[in-house]
This record gives sequence, C-alpha cells and structure tokens, in this order.
Amino acid sequence: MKIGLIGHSHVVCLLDAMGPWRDLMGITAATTVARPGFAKALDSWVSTGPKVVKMPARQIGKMTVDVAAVVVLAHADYDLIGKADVQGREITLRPTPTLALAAEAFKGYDLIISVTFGGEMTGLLWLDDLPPYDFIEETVPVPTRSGAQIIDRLYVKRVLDGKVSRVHMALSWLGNACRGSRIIHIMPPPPLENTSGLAHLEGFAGALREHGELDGTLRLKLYRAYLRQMIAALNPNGTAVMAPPPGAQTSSGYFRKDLAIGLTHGNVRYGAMNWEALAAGLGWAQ
Amino acid sequence: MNPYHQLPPHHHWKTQIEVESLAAIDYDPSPKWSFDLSTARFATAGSCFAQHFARVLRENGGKYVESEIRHPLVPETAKHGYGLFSARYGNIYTTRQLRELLEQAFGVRPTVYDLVQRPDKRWIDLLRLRAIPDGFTSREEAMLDRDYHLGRVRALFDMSDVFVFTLGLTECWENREIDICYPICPGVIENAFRPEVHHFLNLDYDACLKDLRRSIELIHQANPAIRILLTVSPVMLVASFEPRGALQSSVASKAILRAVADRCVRDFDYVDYFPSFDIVTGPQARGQFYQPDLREVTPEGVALVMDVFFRQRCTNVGAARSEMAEIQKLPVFSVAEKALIKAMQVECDEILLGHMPEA
Repeated sequence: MKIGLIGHSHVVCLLDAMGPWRDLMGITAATTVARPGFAKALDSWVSTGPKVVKMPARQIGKMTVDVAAVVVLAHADYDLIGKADVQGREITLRPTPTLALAAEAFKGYDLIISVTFGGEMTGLLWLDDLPPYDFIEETVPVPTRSGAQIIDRLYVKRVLDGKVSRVHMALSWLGNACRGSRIIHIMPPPPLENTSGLAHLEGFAGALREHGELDGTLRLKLYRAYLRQMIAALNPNGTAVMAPPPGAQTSSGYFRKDLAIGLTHGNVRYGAMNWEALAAGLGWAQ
Repeated sequence: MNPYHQLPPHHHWKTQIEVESLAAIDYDPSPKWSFDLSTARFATAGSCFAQHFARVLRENGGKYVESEIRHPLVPETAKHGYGLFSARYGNIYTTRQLRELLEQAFGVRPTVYDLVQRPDKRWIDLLRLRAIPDGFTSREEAMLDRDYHLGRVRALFDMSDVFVFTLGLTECWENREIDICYPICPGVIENAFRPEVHHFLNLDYDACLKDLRRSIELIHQANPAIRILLTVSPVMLVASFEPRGALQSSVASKAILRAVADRCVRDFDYVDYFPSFDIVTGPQARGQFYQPDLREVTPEGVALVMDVFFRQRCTNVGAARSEMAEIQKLPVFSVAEKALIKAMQVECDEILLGHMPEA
C-alpha cells in the first residue's frame, strides 16, 4: 500500500508517530530554525525546502505501508493553489510548486492523506476580538450567548467557506492530477477548553492577552461547523474527511490537553491516534 | 400701534423671503437650541429623507450614532440593513410605527414577531421588510435578531444627544390581529397580504399627536438629557389608498404631520422642529428641489437643507460644502418678477400683516 502524505504543520504529529523523518528530510541541528512560542517538535517544520521524504515501510494495523510525505513548509506558499484562471465558465486551478511536487511524487499511489491547512482557523477559534456574537447550530441545540448578536448561519457559513475552499481547491486539483488515488483529509484538532497551563501559545500570546479567549462553547460550535462544511465540500468529490479520533476529545468536545503540544497542535500520541483511527476506518485494524 | 412693526424682519414674508438668494433666507430664525457639531451625537430615524440627513451629517464630520454596526462576520455585500439609520429599523414612516417600535424596545409591550417565509425559504421580518431584504435562515434566527435589534434601539438613546425624527406619512397598514402597523403594506413586496387581518389605516391629527407624544415621552424617560429634533419629509406619497388623489393625500398627510410637529414643539421644551419641509416645499423654492417625478427631492434640495442646518443650528462646522456653490447663485426673484409681484399685490389681511413701515 503506497500512501502519500501532504500537510501543513498539523502533519508533524503524524510523521512523528511514524518514526524519524527529520534526518530523511535533511534537517539537522544546524538547519533547525527555532520558533519562539511553538513546541520543539514544530521547529523543524520550517527547516527545509519543499521536498519528498520516503519513509521506510512500516506496519499500520495489518497493512504494510510505504509513505512518501511532502511537508508544506511555513515559509513556502501557505496556499496550495497559486491562482485560478477563469475563462467563461471554465476555471483552471494552478498549483504552487509544493502541490505540483506532491502530485508528481504521489502518481499511482493508492491513498493520499491530507493534513493540510487548519492554521487559518486559529484566530477565529480563539480570539475574542469581534463584537459579541453567536450563531445557531443546525444540528446541536446549544443556547446562544446572552446579549450577543446572532449572526445568521448563512454568513457564518460564508466565512467558513472561505477557509474550507483552500482545502477544497487543493484537493480537487490533487485528485485530478492523481486519478485513481483515494484521498482522505484529516481535520486539525478541535479547540482546547482554555489556555491555562499551556506552554506554547503559537504566536497568539500577545493577541490572546489583548483580546482574551473567545467563549469556549462558541469555539466548539465554530469547529463543528467547520467540520460539517469540510465534509459537505469534499465528500461530493469522493474525498473522505476524518474527524478527530475517538477519545481525543473531552466529554464536552474539547481537545484533550494531554494530547496537545501547544494552542492548536497535537503531540506524537495524537498523531498515533490518527493513524489508529485511519487504520480502523480503512479496515486495517488488527 | 401695529404690533407687527416691533417684530424682527423674519416675521414678515417680504423681509424673510425677498433676499438675494435662496441660501440667504433666514429659514430657521428662532431655534430653541443649537448643536456643537464637533461633539453632539446624532441619531436618526424616519422616512427616506432621514437617510439624506444622516449621510450629509457624516460627510460633514458630524458624530452620527449607529447602535447597530455591521458585524465583521456579516459580509459588506449582505443586504442586512446596516448604515441606513442609527439602528436597523429601516424606514419609520409613521408616528404609529415609531411608537410601537419604542414600546417594544423599552419593554412596554411584548416583542412582536411577525415573520413570513419566502418561496426561497428565507424568513422575513414584516416589521423591517425592506430594511433586511436578505432575510434569515430560520424563524428562530429572525426572532433572535429582532430581540437583539430592540436591545440596540434601547441602547441608541443612551448613546445619543440628539434624536432627529423625520415624519413621513400618515397612511399605513396594520395587522388588527396582533395590533401592529407595518412600514409598508405586506402585499407590496412579499405577497404576504392577508385581507382578514391586514387593514388600511390613515392616522388623523389626534392619532399622530398621541403616538408622537407617547414616543417623545418614552425617549425622554430613557434619556432625560436627549433633545428631539423633528422634521417633516418633503417627499410626496408614492401612492394613496384613500379614495382620492395622491396629491390630495400627500398634502393632507404633510399638513397633519407638520401640525403635529408644531404642537409637540410647543408642548415639550426638549423638542424642536427643523424646517427641511418648509425649505423644499415652500413657494420660494418654486418646486425646483423636486426631481423630474415631482416627488423625490434633488441633491441640491438636500444640500440646501443641510446647509441651513449647519449654518443655523450648528457651531464648529468644518469646511464649506461645494454643493452649495451653485445653490447660492440661485435668485429668489428676477427683476421682472419683482415688478410683477408689486403689480399683483392686493389689499388683504396677509398683506397688511406683512406691510413694513417705510424706512
């Protein structure tokens, strides 16, 4: 089973759970760029140019897999689609070099796993920097915040669509470039309940100090809406969306702090849970 | 002794109106108060004409209060009623509509949710029909938005020093089942007309006065320091449901509203009238401030009204407005016209009242 793995920073925990990958990427202590405010595991994420790393064959559940990974670097283009050419009703998506590299590397692969994007949700999911608001969730009857302006869900959807479309466009292009490969998109972790005791606020320390943390219930609602919209956007193209693995959330739905290495990222254990959930979902579980 | 001889010049038609230009007329000679434009916070409501007032006030650096500002999550392109008035109530044409809005906002009567679902499945608030054409995804969202809106209307009066209300119409449509009146007939836009409950209503002087007095009292209770400036919209009725012409209904309606405003100015020391209606519709304007449809007011008319407002009602006004350059050149009477007027003068009480002693 050949698996292509492409991701932004949220892919790091999956790679860490597979074994050493930094050496294969050519990341050394000398090339490592420290990222103040981020856990050490994320330092090396930005330490090399776009390249394909082939991991040694390994067992996931009862399946032997060869994984080739493309890590989308923080200093490379964050977007994976450089531009979209529109001619009449025809829209042609143009990939960034990183996505083109992934498509080339993943040709003929059985499965492509995307752990792309997610960082663009951080501000919305954490900062209390907007006038008090709330929205009605169609599926979960949660009371709205008193005194908050209720934003029609049409507009909330539009905001989230802007974020979902980055994943959607990238994976649509990748799906076309790698016909025959199954694609699964793994969601970034849900929000933590709060920041107390967190060592790494991942660049948001100042903003959180200035604006405060957004109400937790609202953060969960936004995450659930983001997940629903991701599913609605990707499923019609045949791309499956994997929600956070079972057991990764508290009874209220927050991300478990013991699985986090910072404000938004999961640790190696969380990476392993994702592989287990993937194996279970694909019928590879032992 | 003729007591009129002791009066200042503006008391006489001749000396008030026969001046070198329209802009030179002393339109608002006896205001109860004026405003420091650099500090006074203005809120507006009323008919379409109030929108012009708000716009020009902002353009001239006036502090315009908006208690409902577009939330950053609501796209700029959304038709959700922001920026037209100080809160998202849309046009408030009648004194009845104002009273009912304030009664709901201040909790005097329960909130009225009069909602219908359009064929496109969006829910519409019939009480803010044109204010929020995008509507709402669900009935619940529409209700919660109405609650929020009423809260912001309540807050508006704490945030403002001056409430400018433009009286627009006396004709309206009411729902007798739930005792509420609409800004526009529910059948005009949303095909939501139900003849069994929706009835035409033309508010007479007494009804308008009662509504307006109640509104003024509610506002004053909420903020005793606030001043209320009444204007009457010079925009004529687009249609009348009375068995008579739109012209007759327009004149009757405006006359009632003007009289009601006058009564309230006499009754409340914190209420005053600003003569935008008089400036645009008075014979000195010769109808030149009406658009070709003779119903809507031209930009020049709005500019003149606002120029008078800034000049006669405000201190600390910024730079002069370029729109006024042309207005200031317009003569009230040509030389030939002045001769004609003299020839046509006949002895009547009014002329006697206007007769000034020879210098």
